[in-house]
Amino acid sequence: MSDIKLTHTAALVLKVISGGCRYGFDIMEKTGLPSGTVYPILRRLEQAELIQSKWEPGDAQELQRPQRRYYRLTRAGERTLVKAAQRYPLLENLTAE
Amino acid sequence: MKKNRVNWRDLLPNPLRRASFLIRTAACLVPRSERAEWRREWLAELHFAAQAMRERDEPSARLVGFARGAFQDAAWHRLRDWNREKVERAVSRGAQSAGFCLAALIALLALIAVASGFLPETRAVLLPLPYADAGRIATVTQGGTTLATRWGIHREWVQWWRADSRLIEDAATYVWTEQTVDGRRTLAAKVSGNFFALLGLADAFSDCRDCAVLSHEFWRTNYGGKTPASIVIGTKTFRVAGVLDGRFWFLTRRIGVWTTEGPHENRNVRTGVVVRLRPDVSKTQAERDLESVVQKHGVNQWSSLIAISFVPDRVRSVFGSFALALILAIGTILPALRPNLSAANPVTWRAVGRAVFFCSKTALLLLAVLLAGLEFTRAASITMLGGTDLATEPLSTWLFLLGSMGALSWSIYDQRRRCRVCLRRYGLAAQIGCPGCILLSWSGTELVCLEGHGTLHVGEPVACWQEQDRWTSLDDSLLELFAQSD
Repeated sequence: MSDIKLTHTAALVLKVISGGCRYGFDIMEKTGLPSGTVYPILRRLEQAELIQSKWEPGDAQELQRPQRRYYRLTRAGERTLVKAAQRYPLLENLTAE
Repeated sequence: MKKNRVNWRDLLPNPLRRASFLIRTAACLVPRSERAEWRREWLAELHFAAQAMRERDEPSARLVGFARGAFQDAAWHRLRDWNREKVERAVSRGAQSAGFCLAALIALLALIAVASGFLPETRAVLLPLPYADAGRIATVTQGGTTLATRWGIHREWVQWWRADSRLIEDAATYVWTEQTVDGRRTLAAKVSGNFFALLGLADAFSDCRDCAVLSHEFWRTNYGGKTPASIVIGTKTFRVAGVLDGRFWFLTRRIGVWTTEGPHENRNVRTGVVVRLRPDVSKTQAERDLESVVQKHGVNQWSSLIAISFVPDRVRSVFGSFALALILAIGTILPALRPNLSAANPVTWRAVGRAVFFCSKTALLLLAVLLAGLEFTRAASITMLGGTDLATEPLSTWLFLLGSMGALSWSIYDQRRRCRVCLRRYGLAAQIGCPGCILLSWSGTELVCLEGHGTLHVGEPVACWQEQDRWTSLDDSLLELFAQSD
């Protein structure tokens, strides 16, 4: 898993997830990428086991809103992000705000 | 009174509903096992996106843009497991199906249509001719006992007919030769002043001598749709009087330029003649009438033989050539069908389906042969004298014949190599037996239906005790051997 080389956009998504953005729309807002880019990247990252997803606990009726699907980095994801940050030094600036 | 204008956008559902509809539509692309969860996530995201936009006072139309991304995500789900091997397998499986065969033939027809510029020759032959009351327009030739004795008409005979014939309304002359027009080779026709009026068109020349009229196709391809003030035919300059309608043609579509005859044309030169017959005049009546007029002026009986050809009949005679070629082809190929025809097979829905597929496939192939023959040979062209072009018609008839034989042979061969149940092409060809051991044994090729419906045995040395192609149905219990891994 540690050999995975991410594209710049995938690295950006990984970076914002590590920064605390945990669901798709939030990631879109943070990165400025369109939904048609963000969601397929999330699927690929999850397939590569760099992120994990789980449904928000609770019940939609109790919450009075739909449940969210949250994403978080795995250990392999964290390691890959470190390598990606070395490969793309400007990544830090893009997600600094 | 001012009308209240209805904005069509008001009739559409609100953006949230449209976005939701898009997501539900995109969900159809997602594999069934993941669809429910995928839709749940996207609809939840849509809910939060709508909430965020409302809080920020952003236009809700952005939601539709957000939902469009669902199609890319759904496509990813559908295609993520596809690799080259899987694509190749799907393509090869698809290529074996009956639907692919028919689709490929339809694509071939579309290719012919596009390559020929949307079938100009076929349309010219099939559509009504662009003359007023075209059924009364005919060409006149001298001779006519056989194709080889067809001659043009002496120009002075036309004057006699116009003056004395009771059965024709008018007669016009025409002749065409290959000329250089502004540096391009094309057929240039020289016609009498009443030619266009006889065909029921407005007089293109309007009494203008040394004027030329361009055919629409020549004008479009050589002048890019801009009408030149004058053109040079050979060494002589003509003023351009106009461009003919795109649908107009006469005997051949290759004529690019039309000019009028001068007043001092040689009276003895032979020329093409077109006449408009009076209503309800038959071919024979008109021929006798024209012959009698000529004989009245002292021409002997043998030299005054006249043949009349109705232009619509001549134009459509190409279909006669094709029908003849098709009959010959069927007559040649039919013996090959005999073993199948003689087998007493019960009529079932499957047999009907096979027959429908065979007929559709063969009809599409023959149509492709006909269209290619019409468009890419000069099969539909007629000589200046309104007769058969001996240089092209035998050739095109042969091409039709060979094309029809090829189409029928391939269609039968393809049918025999298809499963009797699912109409897929067989695969996994295997050589069976020893070619030298033919006593109570057989050798040949065995092909298997990839869906597991049966096997086809094709014997190579033909033995009188054995059918050439033998189909063996497989028991349903064997079907799981052929089950798809995916």
